Amino acid sequence: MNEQHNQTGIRRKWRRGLDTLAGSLVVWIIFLLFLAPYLYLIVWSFKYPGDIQAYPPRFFSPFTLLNYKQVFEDVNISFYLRNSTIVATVTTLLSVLLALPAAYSFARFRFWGQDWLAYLLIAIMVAPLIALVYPFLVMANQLGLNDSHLGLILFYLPWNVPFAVWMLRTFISDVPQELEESAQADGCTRLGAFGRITAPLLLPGFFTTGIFIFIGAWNEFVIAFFLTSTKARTLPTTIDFFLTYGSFQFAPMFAAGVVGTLPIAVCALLVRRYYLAGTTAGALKG
Amino acid sequence: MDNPPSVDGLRGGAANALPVTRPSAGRRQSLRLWLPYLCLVPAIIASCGVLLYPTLRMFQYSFLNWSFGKSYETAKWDGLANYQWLITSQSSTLFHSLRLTLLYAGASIVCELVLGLAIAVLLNRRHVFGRQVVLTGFMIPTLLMPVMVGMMWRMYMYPNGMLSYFLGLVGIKIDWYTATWAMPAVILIEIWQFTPFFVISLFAGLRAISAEILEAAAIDGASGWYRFWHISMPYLRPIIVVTSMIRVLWILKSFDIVYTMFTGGPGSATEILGISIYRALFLSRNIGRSAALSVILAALTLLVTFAFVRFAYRSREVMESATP
Repeated sequence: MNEQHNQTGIRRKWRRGLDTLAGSLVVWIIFLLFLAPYLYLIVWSFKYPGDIQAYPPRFFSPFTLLNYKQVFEDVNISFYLRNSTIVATVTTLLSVLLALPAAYSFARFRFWGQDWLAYLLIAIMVAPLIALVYPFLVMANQLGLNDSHLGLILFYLPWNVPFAVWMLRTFISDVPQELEESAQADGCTRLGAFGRITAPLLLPGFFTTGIFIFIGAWNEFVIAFFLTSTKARTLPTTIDFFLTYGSFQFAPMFAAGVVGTLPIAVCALLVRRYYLAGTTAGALKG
Repeated sequence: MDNPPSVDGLRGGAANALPVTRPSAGRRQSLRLWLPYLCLVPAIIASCGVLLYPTLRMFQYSFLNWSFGKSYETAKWDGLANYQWLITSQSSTLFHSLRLTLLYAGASIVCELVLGLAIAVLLNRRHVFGRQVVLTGFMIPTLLMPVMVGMMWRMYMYPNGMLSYFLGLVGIKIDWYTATWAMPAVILIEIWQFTPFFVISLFAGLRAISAEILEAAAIDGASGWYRFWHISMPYLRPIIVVTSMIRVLWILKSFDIVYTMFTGGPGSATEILGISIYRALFLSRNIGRSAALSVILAALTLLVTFAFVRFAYRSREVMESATP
């Protein structure tokens, strides 16, 4: 009797194990199918041009850095990488800095017109980029900001500052106000209380907000494409080189794709805990 | 007119419930009064300051008859002629673009939802090897540079590309660069990029459903399907609506992928609104019509956003508990 009971127990355990295994297998197959196009891009970027364009595809072929060499030497992609980095970094820092007081205000005060002002910020954030390209062109020409880092940064601010306000507001709200109040009771000014008590606790908030803005500015194509030509060109706009110069060039394209997207894939790993918060607020961004 | 949903409606909100200390008197009091507004100044200047002028200009241009490349002096006031042309003219692509955008949004969101839900449910089984790795990996496609995504798929969808090869293995032969298949190609890319977004948000929603309720239902004899449809689904509904609305917003303003894949072609097979604006400006060289299309796009976006904010406000408890 007891032995029989034991046997069914073991069988059930086996079945559960098999079930887990099968479920995991299905999940992993789907997962790998989804990642396959990106992994393919990475793996194929290390092949010789002849092997890249071979049909049917050559899965096992010699490894080479030739494409990267071409992208860095002939296309001089490091120049565009530098532009992208400058624009994205300054946009990130400026947006967070300009948004911080407003985020604090929305999180800590109750004031007349608060809801409508929040609405205004959202309305600004959703303005579709492509709709404003021509007025931006005119404005950039009038201000002499065409093809400059400053112009790009200036035009990225309207979308990123409201986003930063939105994100930082949540993070500030999560820090109990009592902490600040007790510091103020101990003789700190409001600013001192914020700087000493709340700001250190906000580091993950700054970091997450910053990474999302950085990704957005790094990936931005429309404004960069129409407002820059040579000096301030950023990485996404360089795809034009591979499109228009002669026939469509596969091999350097693979390498450029990896150079452009790998930093972002790394960022994805850094912000994974806040992915949903960031994308939901960022969804509104034009 | 009723009040807008409160700010803390969308997220957090605990802080505003806390009492604000009473102001003392005199100058301190007026500072108290103005401090909230003073704090807003940098953000308002940085966003409104830059955007106000171009937006007003966009409105103004939409009433002008003005060719791209000609000086501003040649522009003539044309009243509502641009809008009238867009709505009534035979060669206007406005309704074509709207139809395409609708198809684009409908088809991709439905596929993403079904696939995303299936994968989320699979991921939510009791034991899955490397669940965290899968979830993190799924975040990569959504964050990739849209232009590069378009480029990447453009390479795969060529007749001798990777996708064509694998489809060929199962006997499917599709020429993506034809009027019939261009839009499905764009939708396919969209599904690839954003199904993971549904997976992650729906998975977070499934996680938030308390295990006790499901167990209690199981003890009462409810089958797996019954539990899914009658306990999990009602709970997931607000998350599904919010996630879909976010996708609608993204699709309305999408430009990059279609531009790099097809630039709106072949013909006007993929001419969504964003591409229409681009074409009216740089191909037809008609600033007025392009601006009128821009105004229409902006109005549509605002409309969807308004619906989104209202809905997100109503379903905030669910959204908050679902955010990990």
